[in-house]
Amino acid sequence: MRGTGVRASRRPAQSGRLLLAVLVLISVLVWLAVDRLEVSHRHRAVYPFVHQDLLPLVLVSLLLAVTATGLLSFTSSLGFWTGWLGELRDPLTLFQAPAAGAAGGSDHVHAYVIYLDGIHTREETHPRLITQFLQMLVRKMGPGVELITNVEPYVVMADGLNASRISGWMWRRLFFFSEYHDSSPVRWLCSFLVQSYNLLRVAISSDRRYGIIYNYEIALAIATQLEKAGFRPGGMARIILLGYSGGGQIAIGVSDYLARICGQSILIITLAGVFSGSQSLRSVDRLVCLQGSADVLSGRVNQLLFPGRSSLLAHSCWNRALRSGKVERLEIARMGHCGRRGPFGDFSEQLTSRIAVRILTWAGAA
Amino acid sequence: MIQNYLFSLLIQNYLLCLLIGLSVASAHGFALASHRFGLRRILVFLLLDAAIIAIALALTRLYLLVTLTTQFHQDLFSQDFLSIAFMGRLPLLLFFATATPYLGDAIAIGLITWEHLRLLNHLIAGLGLPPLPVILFTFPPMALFLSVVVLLQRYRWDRIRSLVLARAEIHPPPVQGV
Repeated sequence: MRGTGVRASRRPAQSGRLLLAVLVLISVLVWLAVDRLEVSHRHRAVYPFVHQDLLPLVLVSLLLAVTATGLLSFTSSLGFWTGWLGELRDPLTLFQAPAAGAAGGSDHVHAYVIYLDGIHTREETHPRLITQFLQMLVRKMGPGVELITNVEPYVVMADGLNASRISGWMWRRLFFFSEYHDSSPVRWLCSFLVQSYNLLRVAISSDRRYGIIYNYEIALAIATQLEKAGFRPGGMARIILLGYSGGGQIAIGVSDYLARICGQSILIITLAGVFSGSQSLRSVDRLVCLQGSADVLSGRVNQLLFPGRSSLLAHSCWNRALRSGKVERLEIARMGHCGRRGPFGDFSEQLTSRIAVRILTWAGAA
Repeated sequence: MIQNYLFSLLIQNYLLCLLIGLSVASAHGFALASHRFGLRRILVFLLLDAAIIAIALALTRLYLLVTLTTQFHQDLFSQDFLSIAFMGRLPLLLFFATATPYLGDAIAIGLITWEHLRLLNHLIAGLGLPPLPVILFTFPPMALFLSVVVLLQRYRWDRIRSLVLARAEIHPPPVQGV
């Protein structure tokens, strides 16, 4: 069995020592940098940290804060990959049970659609507008398509952030306050913190270094949900990822791994998708991007944030996929990114029809 | 007295090279941890990578010394040159920050540009050398340093990619193409 022997030999004490060594190293480097900065200041002014000298110090502090937050955000993914925080499921053990034992069975299902939410997502449950949208989509797709909505695209833990031994108490309060607190600034702040965390996960997924491990872990989580829904490799059912906003990045990021685990190419629909375009699309059969004409975030801002989406980098994965003809971009007039003017508001009727037709076409072609 | 000072300054310079090497190497510390290596092996790899970076930095220093001697007839062992050259390298101590997800490339470019501009400022404004030849002569060492850093990073992370793909690959990739 691949790679299982290595994992068994890990000792928790080693991870603690490694973390300590890294912290000591970073502390020494920071101390040296600050020390040298102070020396240079003393040569120039009596009061070292005033006027123009304050700017480099603020910039360096900001840099250190951003670095620490980014690395801490990746630590849980790394912890699961290395086995420090628990075992990841071995892909070889997936899809072993016969499909009849799974809920609903798989004989009548022509396609499995996995919905990946945007960065506003808190837990497995979705906001009211999205729930209505998904219910409408299920009605239009009919009984031959199974919609899976309980994948958390920004959490690598099997039981969600709530169940974390270290930070579970904090997440439970953040989720609760962001919805039910009496004070609207508190609600806003808690929502902002949750969304910042999810935004970091999108950044990690799009990073060519950290995205490798993170996307693999999310692909495993999706494959586990597919197994529970009754999917079995080698059948006729197609796998379709439906990603909204940052969920589009997750969908594209996991596609290569999910295709290898499930043994078939993936179909993707992004809804106001924000994605880097630096991930390989070789395992993607078709990618449909539904984007609003009034949606600046998934349009111009996306190109600005991710150079891989710009036409200037002709050899980026995104531009190669565009040339290969597997990407189809559909613009919805006047649609924005979120709220009433977004895909789940006034445009939900139109969008669900379009998506359902596309999914049924793919499922029929299977 | 002056010789002792110069000697200590040289030692400080090479110690700084090693510290910068450690800072650069720690930027791919997570890649080493991802291999599930033991602590000792991770430290050995970090030190090895730091040594490679330190050697690359020392080579760029040697190149600059030779260039400045032959082309610009500078007194290489002047206290002024050594001390300011030492200070010029300081931004690279923050190179570990390039481990930041998504922003890593931008931070790396920013730090190297900052360091290079400090060097140019020292040579042009401090020592009064002509700008265009200085810009031309200082470009190759920066390119060498960048190449070593990029190659080392790619090597460490590419091995992770193959490891993850091997683990995920129950079935061969279904479609070949893009």
